[in-house]
Amino acid sequence: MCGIAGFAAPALTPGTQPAVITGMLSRIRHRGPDEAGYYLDDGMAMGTVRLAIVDLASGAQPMSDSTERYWICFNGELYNHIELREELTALGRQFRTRSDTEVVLQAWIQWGQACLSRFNGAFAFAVRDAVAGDLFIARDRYGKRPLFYADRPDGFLFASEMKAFRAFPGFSFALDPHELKSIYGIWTPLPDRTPFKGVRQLPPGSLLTLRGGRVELHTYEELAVDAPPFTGTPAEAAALVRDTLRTSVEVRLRSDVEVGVYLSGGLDSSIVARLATDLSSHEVRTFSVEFEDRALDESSAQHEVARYLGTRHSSIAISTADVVENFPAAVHHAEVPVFRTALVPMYLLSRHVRDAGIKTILSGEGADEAFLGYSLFRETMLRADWHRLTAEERRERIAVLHPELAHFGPEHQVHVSGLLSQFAEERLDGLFSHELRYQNGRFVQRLLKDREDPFADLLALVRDTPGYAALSPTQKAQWLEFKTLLAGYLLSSQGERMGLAHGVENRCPFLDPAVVRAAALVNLRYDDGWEEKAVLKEAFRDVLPAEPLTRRKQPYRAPGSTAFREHRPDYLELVRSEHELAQIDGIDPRFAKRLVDKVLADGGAEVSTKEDHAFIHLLSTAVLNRQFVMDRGDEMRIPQAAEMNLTTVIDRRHGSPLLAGGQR
Amino acid sequence: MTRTEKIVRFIEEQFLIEFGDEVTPQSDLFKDGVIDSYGYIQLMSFLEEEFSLEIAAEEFLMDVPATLDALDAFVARKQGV
Repeated sequence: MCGIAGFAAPALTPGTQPAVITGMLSRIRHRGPDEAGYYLDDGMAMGTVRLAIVDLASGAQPMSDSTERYWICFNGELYNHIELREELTALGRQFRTRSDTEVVLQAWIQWGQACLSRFNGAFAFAVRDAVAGDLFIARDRYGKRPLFYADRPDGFLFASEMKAFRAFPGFSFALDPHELKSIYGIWTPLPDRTPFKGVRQLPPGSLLTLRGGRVELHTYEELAVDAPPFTGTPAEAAALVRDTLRTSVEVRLRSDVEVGVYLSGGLDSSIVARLATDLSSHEVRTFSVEFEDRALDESSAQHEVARYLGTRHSSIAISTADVVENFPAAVHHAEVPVFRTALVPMYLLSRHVRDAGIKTILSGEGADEAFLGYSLFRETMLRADWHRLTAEERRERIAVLHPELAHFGPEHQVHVSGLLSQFAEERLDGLFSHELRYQNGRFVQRLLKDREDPFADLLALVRDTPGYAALSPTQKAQWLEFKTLLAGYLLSSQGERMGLAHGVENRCPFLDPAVVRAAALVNLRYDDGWEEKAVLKEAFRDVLPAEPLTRRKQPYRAPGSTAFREHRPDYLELVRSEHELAQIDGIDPRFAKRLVDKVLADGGAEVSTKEDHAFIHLLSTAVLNRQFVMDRGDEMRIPQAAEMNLTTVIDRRHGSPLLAGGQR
Repeated sequence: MTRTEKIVRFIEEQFLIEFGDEVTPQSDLFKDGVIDSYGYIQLMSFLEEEFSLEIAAEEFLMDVPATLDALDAFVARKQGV
């Protein structure tokens, strides 16, 4: 794990460069509190804050090859580092450490950018070629680790979190109304975007080269959700899923520190916990959230699974007041407007895990995307087949479509039928599966002054993606979920950024390339989409308790906008005052005020889902505006340089000899 | 209050809009972001209750009302007006 940051800015005053790189690293120190280091040469700097997990003793960064031509700053984990090390050793490459970071560097030297497709891991890294003067930055295929950049006239900046850029002289943040429009429409930035002007992120599966001051972006791996139908028997399909997941968990248990497991009580995390207990020689520790609000709480299911598996279980009880109080801090780490408060419990859970002495955790993220777990997929199948189904078949399917939504219940069958019939034809080219959901976005657009099309950029993305048009409606739905909400929201705002806020690394066994490929092979062959995750259940039916196998999926929920009605924190002034709202670029203060008044009405007016999402979007935007644009708010204390535990400082500027400044 | 006024008032209060230049009686209330699935079911339940209507699924197979004018006409037709 860790965080990385750096810049290429030849014109930056030499005397300030160490302070600038240290300042950038200090702002992301929460990601890697164990040690820090940086490398400087003529015109560029890069550094790492390290969370030591593999090779605690000799894995310090930045790290070089023996010639000191290539230098690397690495954030993440390479799960297949042992196999790649053997392969590289056989090719004659020599290693000085046991770390996966060195394997990445040697693979880069051996294979160049072709190494990226060989990596099974969660990573973002920077490699400096000190002879050619090139800089490369790359990100893993599913976007598990973040990497942001800003290409400016005065320099190229990159970092694991945008907040690091604040340390660069003259840098300031400004919200981008165009991006807000897109975020409000699809609940997350597009893979290469952020909410801020001039700041981009490296899309999952891509590599950026900085050569001669010019940026080149290259996709090294496209997401594949389609595959030829699996030809084996149902038992063989289940065995394939079981075996690939077992191997995935096995390599994700590789660590020099203890690995825990998040346990929600649902199928996915139960499978991960089951495999972790099978593969560990010691008692596995599991962690979960309990909600004060019983309607949201799933603790009984969690305890049942923990008892069955014999894990050492620990949970943190979270009240609605906790969610309200910690919302600004969680948004500060997420760095993006959010539509739900669900990130806050994850923020508090990771703190609990860290307090328990654990800094690496396995989670079930990615299972719903890979194995068609969301009701969105069933809805897509139903709408796509609408005109082919009989009235009776429609009724049967509507009855199990969205069991968690009361307004989809049996008493509303007629209206649901009318609603779905309107969405049986594609309206947005290529976005059929998500059209009903995107209606919510259209309401949230009303928070903005400008009525520009919120889906234009997404439509362009799918239009320009090779192979997308040939996918089935369900596969398009999967592709959209992987590319938008998974990387942009679940893995980041609920996972990576909330974990690393407290120095906890999450690992996702369902997001192993072999598992995603196996899912693509068996989906829709042995799973018609109506029995939720049928193949996955079949694969683990005999080794799990009844609860996660029999109950329908419970969407992970947290208290919504009415929590702010009940608790009314001081910072609500951000959205209660038209003057404050007018400070947010692009927001229509008049409509925003109307929405806020309804949501916070003293009498307890009914708040719909779209109003709930709009309110949380607005509040989180206002919080971000205060923290990033106005540079106010005290959610995070920035460590001073002296507190940074800088163990590695490499200064090679002005043709100074190798290792000038030295390892100290 | 007329039938049309009742429908207008419900939509304006529930969905935070005002019919005028921006949203007209001919606007598609889905496309313009006025209602979502929850709102649509709220609206149809309101019409059923307020105007004592009974609606069958088959009525929605061909033509589903999504504008104020269409909703108003639908209620009028159901009431035999």
